[in-house]
Amino acid sequence: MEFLTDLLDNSTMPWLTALLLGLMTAISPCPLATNITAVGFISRDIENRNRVFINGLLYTLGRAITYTVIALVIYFGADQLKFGGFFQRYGEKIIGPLLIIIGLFMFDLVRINFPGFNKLTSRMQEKKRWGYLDALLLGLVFALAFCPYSGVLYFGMLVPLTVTSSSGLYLPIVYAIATGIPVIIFAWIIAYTISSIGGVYKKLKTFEHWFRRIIAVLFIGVGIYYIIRAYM
Amino acid sequence: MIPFLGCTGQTTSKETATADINSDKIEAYYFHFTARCTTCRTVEAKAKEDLESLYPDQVKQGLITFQSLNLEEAPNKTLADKLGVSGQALLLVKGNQKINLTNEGFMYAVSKPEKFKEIIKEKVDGLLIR
Repeated sequence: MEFLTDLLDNSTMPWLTALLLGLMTAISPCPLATNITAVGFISRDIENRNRVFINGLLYTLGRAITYTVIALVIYFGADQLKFGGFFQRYGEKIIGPLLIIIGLFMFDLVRINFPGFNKLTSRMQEKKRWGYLDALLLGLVFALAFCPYSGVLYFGMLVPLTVTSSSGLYLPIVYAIATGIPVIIFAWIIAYTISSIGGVYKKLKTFEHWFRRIIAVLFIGVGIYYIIRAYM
Repeated sequence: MIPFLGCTGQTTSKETATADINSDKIEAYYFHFTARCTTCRTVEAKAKEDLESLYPDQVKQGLITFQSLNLEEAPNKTLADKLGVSGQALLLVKGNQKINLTNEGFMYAVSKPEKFKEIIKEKVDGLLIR
């Protein structure tokens, strides 16, 4: 962290500042929790290596969209104070329950029998159509979980830098990529290193059923972590 | 240098008139939400500690005060609105002068506490002269 602060201190280039802020966000405890969950989530498609890696990229793209849209809304005149305050206040509170709900769904503990919902669920099983979209959505939502520290880095440092420089709108994208770097790296390792070790891939495939449950537990666990942080 | 752009962040750069605040006094405020983080607590603790060690006399006489306020508690909202704060913020207020030290706090309080102390000294000295 100190090394990053030093670099940040001496940075005269906005893109480098954005990159460093993103890295500092990525390794701070609370966004790290969302990133760990994301790694679990995207690696559940272990049977398709390219998919795992592409999911990692899409997750990061999702984060980039959120960070850019928020910066754009502020750029076009939303009250930065109220807007930023809202996310900093509620972001962390919403993410916990949401993670638990997603976890329960993954566990198949919650089944909703609305007419038409079964169709939706079965379509979600058809991974070809939904698989890529859910990684993107996960990135979109996880980026909204502003914690006290990441909130200051984003709203206090990155957004002002973005809205005051004329060509600054690319900065949230740089920031987002940096916050997603750990996920991209792990997605790469899981996709092309671990799964190519002899036998591991086959074993993982038979393990897959359990693997999904472990990921569901991970979601619920991280959800509880956020709830404890935000409410206790 | 990171461009801090004056008083960036959760507060506006405009110096808002803060009526009924004693203009001889320097008031330091740390605004936060109920959920805290390690860095956040360190920023608060360091700021308080630095003020007490740099200006022991003024702190004793009540000329420099430090308050930590939760933004989720209704009574503090009024003051936060008046000061233009909506998120976590470390502020120095004297009369209608307002200095936002949030970014500096988050940058240095943990990794370079000495530098943070220097910045606090510089800003408070500036306010004492004026």
